[in-house]
Parts: sequence; structure tokens; C-alpha cells
Amino acid sequence: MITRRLARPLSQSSSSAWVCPACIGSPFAPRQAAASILPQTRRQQPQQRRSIHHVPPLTYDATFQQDGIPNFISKYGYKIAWTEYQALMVQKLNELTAGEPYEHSLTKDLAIQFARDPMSASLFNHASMAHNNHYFFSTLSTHPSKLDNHPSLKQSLISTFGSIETLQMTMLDTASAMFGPGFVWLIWARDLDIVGTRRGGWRILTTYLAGTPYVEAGYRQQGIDTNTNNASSQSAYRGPISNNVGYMGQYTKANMDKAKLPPGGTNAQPVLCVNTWEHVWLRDYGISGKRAFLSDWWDTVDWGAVEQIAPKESKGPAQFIRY
Amino acid sequence: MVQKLNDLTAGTPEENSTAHALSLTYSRQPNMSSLFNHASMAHNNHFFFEALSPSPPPISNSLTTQLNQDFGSLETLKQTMLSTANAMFGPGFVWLVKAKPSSNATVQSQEQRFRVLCTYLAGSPYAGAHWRQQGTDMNTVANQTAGAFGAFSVGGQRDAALAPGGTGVSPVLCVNTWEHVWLRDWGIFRKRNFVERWWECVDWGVVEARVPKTQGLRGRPFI
Repeated sequence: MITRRLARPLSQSSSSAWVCPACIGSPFAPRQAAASILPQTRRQQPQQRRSIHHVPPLTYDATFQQDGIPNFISKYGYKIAWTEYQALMVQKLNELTAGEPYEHSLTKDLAIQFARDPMSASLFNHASMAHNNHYFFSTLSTHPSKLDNHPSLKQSLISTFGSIETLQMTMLDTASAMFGPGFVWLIWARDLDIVGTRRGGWRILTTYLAGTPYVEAGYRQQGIDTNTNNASSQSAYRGPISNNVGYMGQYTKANMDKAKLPPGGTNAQPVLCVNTWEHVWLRDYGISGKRAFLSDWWDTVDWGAVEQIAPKESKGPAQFIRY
Repeated sequence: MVQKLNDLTAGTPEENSTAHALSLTYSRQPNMSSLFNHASMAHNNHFFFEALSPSPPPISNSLTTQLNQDFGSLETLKQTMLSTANAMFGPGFVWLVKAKPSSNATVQSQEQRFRVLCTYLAGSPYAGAHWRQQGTDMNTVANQTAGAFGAFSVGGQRDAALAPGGTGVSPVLCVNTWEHVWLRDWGIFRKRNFVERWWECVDWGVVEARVPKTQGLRGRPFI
């Protein structure tokens, strides 16, 4: 077990109104957040040091604190899952990054940088968890927009999953089957389809605990989660094969190379996730209520927020290119 | 846990097996991961609650002596277990086990020692559940024995029933750090307080009863 000596005593840090830069420029962050990305422009006492990381403001935080997330999480549950838990993550993150060259890095960058460094496991966990938890809450709102209001996104999802019902059932069943806390992600994976229908495709991904969905973080040593697959879906997942043959299809060289990459292709953009950690649903749904929690979550997703995050090429129907 | 376990084993030959036996059988079968998880979790959770008492008697001198031998002091053991539990990111268990080093070590070091070990989620501490070290070669004749030591000795063959080179691990105590155990009573910030309070509720009588008895001179008799 590795204990870390702090670069400076905690008593010298004080909170500031720093905002996670992931919120800058996003539609659901207050405008004045932009100023605080540059702490050098503020006057600082030499003795006092500001804490760099702070709980990022959510657009609907004030309402959520008062009334909870409607039809989903009570204000008590919200307090545990966001206000307190995120504060805990941020506090640990400040402790672990104080005085280091990466103390200003975004949580996403920290997660990618330290994912493969076992000596920095604690830093990775807290950064990744802070990032994932923020992602989860940023797609929830007081008046969520239904998917029907976003036809191009809806059409794109149907192209991959066959129907929205299938997407819903797949995500919820996957989350339900996972043993232990984690996240289930809907991601847009670029450069997957060599035949070039859409230069990418939707995928569902699971991560346990504080795992990160970003492919750049490193190779997923286990391609599938056997908790959420059965014998036939497991056999469909191929291990590495050595020869290649043909011009198109799964046995071409290009596609074989892709098969060696982690699932998700060369570039993965997460657009939606559900947080299945117990502290999120235990208070409002009870120990046997995980499935009900997941159903309610699906009805509460703000597809407007999802559409804003989704990359441009992911919205719209498939276009077939002749070779 | 029990409900899921019943669902998963109903109608199979295993429906009457103990949770512990199920967890050992299926720990290495990815297709049966759900069954393993629920069986192992049921067993671990039970193990945790069995050693709790509302007003535990003080720890006995013999157990204190044994623990001091391997940890220096009870305080060190306590801080090790608590700090491990606190540092783990995500739910799991921290175990106090009595373990034997691998069978190809020298005789003197065959004696069992107390150790602290942690498992995440529904992980199992039992050596029978997984393969630790690569020691003895399993590809030998099964039923004959030869010699006092080595792969073909009685001891070697017994160890071969475990994973190759696997150690004998006997858990005697664990703390369950899943959130549902402490979230309600302690809140999200006070996991450390929960674990500290747990230490004061441990029934050391139960723990001592679980410690496996060693024969003779703390290990195998030397021939």
C-alpha cells in the first residue's frame, strides 16, 4: 500500500471558484466559468494556495438540490450522489495533484495519462470517477427533451440498433447484469466501418468501478464482460486470427488490424452513460431496486444534451458508398 | 444474493451445494461468472457478519501472541487492515488469513503465517478458487506418491489438488466495504470511521475458532 506525502499541508489550500474546463463552452455551463480557467490572472498570496479542482457546476444544480431530479432521484439521493460524492472525489484529486505539473489538467486527461501507471492508481481512480460522474449528471435535467425531438440522432441510433427499444433494453440489461458498480456507456466509435457507411458506429461499453471508456487510455485486456454476455454472444467475439484474405470484409488486413485494437475502434466519443454505483440509487430505490432505477433513468435522459455532445457524423442516416 | 443463487442453480445438480463450494468450482469459468459472483458474495457476506458481536469479549492471549508474531503488534494489524480498506477504490473485502507459502519452498518456511489480503467486488480469497503461483507441475501421475518432499510426495500431491503451486489460505476474518453496508449509517465521507468502528465489534472468539490448527512444530515434522 502506497501512502502519499502531500506537497504542502492541506491547511494552506483554500477553495476557489475554479470550474472544470470540460464545462467551458458547453451549453450547460454558466458563462462566467470561462474566466476561471486562468488562475494566473488572479492575485494570489504567496502563502495561500488555491485548490485547483472544484465540483463543476451543473446547470440545474440549484433545482436538483431543492427538489431532486424529477421522477428519478430525490434531493437526498442527489446530495449523496453528486454534492457529497463529487466533493469527495475533487478533494482527493486536489490532494493528489497539489504541486505537481499536472495539477491543472482536466480530469479526462489525467485519466488517460495515468490509466496504465499502477503507481498512480489512486490518482487515476479519482480523476476518472470525477469525470464519469460529471458525465452522468450532465445528461439529466429538470425538463428532459425526448428523443423524438431529435430525429437525426434517433434515426442514427435506429440504424445501428434496429430500434430504440433494443438500445434501451441492451443498455439496461447490461447495467443490470453487471455485478458491482460501474458505468454503461453509449459511445460513437469512429473509423470502425472500413466499407465506409458512416465512418463510425454506435457501441455500448461497460466499465467497472472507475474505469474509463476512452480508448486512448490503454488496451482493454478483457474484450468482453462475461457477466453481461451469454455463450453465443461470447463466441461471436473473435480472438486474434493470424491470416488475412480478401478485399472487403472482416478478414481483410485492415479489419484484422482493427480487430486487434480494443473494442471501440481508434477513437471513441462517449455521449451517454449511466452510473450504477450503489450510492446513486440505494437511498431512493433500496437494495433490490437497481432495475427500477435503470428504467427511471432511461425516461429521464435529456436527449437534447446527448445530441449536443454527439459528433456531427453520428447524426443522420447511413450513406452507402459504392466501391 | 440467495434469491439470485436459487434462480441460477434451480434444477441443476448444484442446487444443494454450499455457496462456498460453488464459488470454488466456478471461479475460473467465465461463462458462469454470474453464478460465481453471487455464490462468492453470499459466502463472503456471511463470513463478515458471523464475526460481529454487539459486545465482544476481549481478544484472548493466545491469539494476541500469534498475531503479534506475524504483525509486531495488534495496532499494526489494525492499521494495516483499516488503511487497506480505506485505500481500496470501490467495494470489496479485506481479509485476515492464515497462509502457507508455496509447496516448493523449504521446510522451515512451510509454517503458516497470518497475512492481510484484499479482494474486490465478489473476489474470493481461497486458493482453490484461483491460481496463484506456478510451482508444481501438474502433469504427473495422479495417485502415486514418492519421497518426503516435492511434487510426488504426499504433501506435494495434496497441494497439487489446489492450483499449481497454490498456497493453502484459511481466512479467519474479513471486513465488507461495499457501500450498502455503511452508506446509510455513516454517510459518504465516513468510510474510515465505519471501518474503525468495525474493529471494535469483532468477535475474536469466533476468529480464534476459525484459525486452523497446525500439527507439531508449527508445520510439517522434519524427517
